[in-house]
Amino acid sequence: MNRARVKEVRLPGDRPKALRLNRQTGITLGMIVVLALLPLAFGGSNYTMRLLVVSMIWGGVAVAWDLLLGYAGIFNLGQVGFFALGAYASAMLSENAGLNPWWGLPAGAAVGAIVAVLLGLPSLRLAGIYIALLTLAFYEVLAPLLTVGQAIGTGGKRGISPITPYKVGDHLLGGSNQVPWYYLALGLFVLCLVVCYFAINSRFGTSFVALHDSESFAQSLGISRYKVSLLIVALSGTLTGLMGAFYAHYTGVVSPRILGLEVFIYLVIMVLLGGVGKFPGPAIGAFIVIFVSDWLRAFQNFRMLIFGALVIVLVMLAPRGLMGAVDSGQTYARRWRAHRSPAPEDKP
Amino acid sequence: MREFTEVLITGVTIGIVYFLVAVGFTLCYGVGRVLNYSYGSFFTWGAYLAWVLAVGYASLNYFLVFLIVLPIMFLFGVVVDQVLIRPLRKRPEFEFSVLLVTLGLAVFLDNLVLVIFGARTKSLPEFLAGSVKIAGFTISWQLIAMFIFALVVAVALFVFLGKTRTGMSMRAVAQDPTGARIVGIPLFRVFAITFGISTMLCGAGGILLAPRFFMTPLGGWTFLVKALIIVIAGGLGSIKGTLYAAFILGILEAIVGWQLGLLWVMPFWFLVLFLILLIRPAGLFGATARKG
Repeated sequence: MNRARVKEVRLPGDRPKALRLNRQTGITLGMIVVLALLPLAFGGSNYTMRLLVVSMIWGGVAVAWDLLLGYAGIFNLGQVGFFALGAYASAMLSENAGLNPWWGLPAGAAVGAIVAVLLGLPSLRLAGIYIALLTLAFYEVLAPLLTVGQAIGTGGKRGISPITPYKVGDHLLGGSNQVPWYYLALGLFVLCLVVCYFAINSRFGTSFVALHDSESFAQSLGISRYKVSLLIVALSGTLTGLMGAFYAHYTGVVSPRILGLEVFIYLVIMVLLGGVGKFPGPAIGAFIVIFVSDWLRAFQNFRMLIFGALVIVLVMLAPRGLMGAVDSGQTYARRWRAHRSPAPEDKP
Repeated sequence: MREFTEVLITGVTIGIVYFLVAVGFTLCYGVGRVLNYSYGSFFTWGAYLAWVLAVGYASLNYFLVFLIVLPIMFLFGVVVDQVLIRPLRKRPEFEFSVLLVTLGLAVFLDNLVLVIFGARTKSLPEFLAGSVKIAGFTISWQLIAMFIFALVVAVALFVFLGKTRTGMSMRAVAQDPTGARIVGIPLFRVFAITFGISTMLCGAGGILLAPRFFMTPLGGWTFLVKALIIVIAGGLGSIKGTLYAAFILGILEAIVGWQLGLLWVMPFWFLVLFLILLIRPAGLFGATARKG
């Protein structure tokens, strides 16, 4: 039987939106350029460089998480779990199996993806809030599991430390020179941004908009929510696991403490502050949170008190975050301008 | 065998207290679609308030402590509902916004405890000291008191939900908010009362379990997770499911804790949750997990 090939029908939403110069692209590119140049100014200060590297690691995770929260509408609360498992996978490969640390990066990414898919397979068929509950249970049980898992080399409560840093040629990356770490982190961060950018602006991202607007119509066009969700969860898990692997070798230690509340709440604030579903926003949020948190270091216990209150205030008063504020600021400005200069036909 | 029976008795007692804690959580979701992430912190606050009254600043007896703490918890819940949750109800992504707000509240409340009371663990004395021999088994008075109190609260809750006007309107709202509104049930008042009752039950659980576990500022999280697992296993929003799940998991906890140590309790709970969800994705008695 001859199967006739039907020419693919192009719908208005199908048009590749990527690489159009709009605010999203502009801010993303600007951020990358500024970050690439920053070591010229701060290259001498290891402290600042370290904060920037940490910001980039969490920035990548925040953007990957926002892909699920803000774009796909998947309330995954286990993102830190993917991160921790990526970190553990990489650390265990290099410390227990003796592999070259570089192998940890693909391994961490793979573990992140596999765990994300395993968690997604049963939960993505459920309604939104059940996903949140299941992933939360996963996240909360992970720390006790890693503590109990001493037998398979997780190092129990104390975790794994020290972890061998990466080696470029014969040169071992140490803590005294942060610049190589910085550019490595920048590379991974840019990878996260680029992947998320194309995921959002491709047919892939558009299908979520379609599902959100009219689920039945989107399904009639052949979009399966389950499949698309599974793919995007895998993608987000991959990026998060990758960042986790890098984090393990950068800080030289992983322990169940990474699954603590503090990390989780930081990540939540990054995404909220930047703007849920406002693409480069969460990455910007990461930089703000890391630097403000360092600045508040002197307040000790009060720091978490402040951050808790901040989450409440952000959700209540500014649910769309900084990028949302920029958007509404522009709307106001346009309205104001229209008010100032009346339409041409009004003029004599 | 004899030891096993004693473990079983402990398990049943823990089960009924877990039921009290988890039923507030499930009530809150079933009636008001509120997933309360700060539930663990309410638990901690209940225990710390009791500590202030019974040990720290006064030495009242437990009866008075309950009489004072429970209304405070109820009022606190109502205030939280009115100030933080009610304004969010008109948002399209209400359930998720509430999750985030209560998460922030949890971190805030926990660290408030930390700032006020310090990180050192505190403990409440037992309600009644000593033990009694019944049919050859040694059972501590503490356990009996816990059991009786939890039973009284549980029965009171069922009577409240089944017989009183407020309880019935709560059930009506849980079944169909729009229908409830049409027949003149004030939705927001019911939401507030539900949240208050849920907070109160959680506080009661906190006081009951505090003598058994040490109190730490962040200790409530364990109970949030436990309530969560019980509620998912039983079916979100189902009181009957919560009852069964609480007893199954409570007895499991006692047995695992006795044989392997308390560290293994959570992995086992998760395993059981996983098995239940494999067979029934909506939990034991849940019906609404699958969409469409």
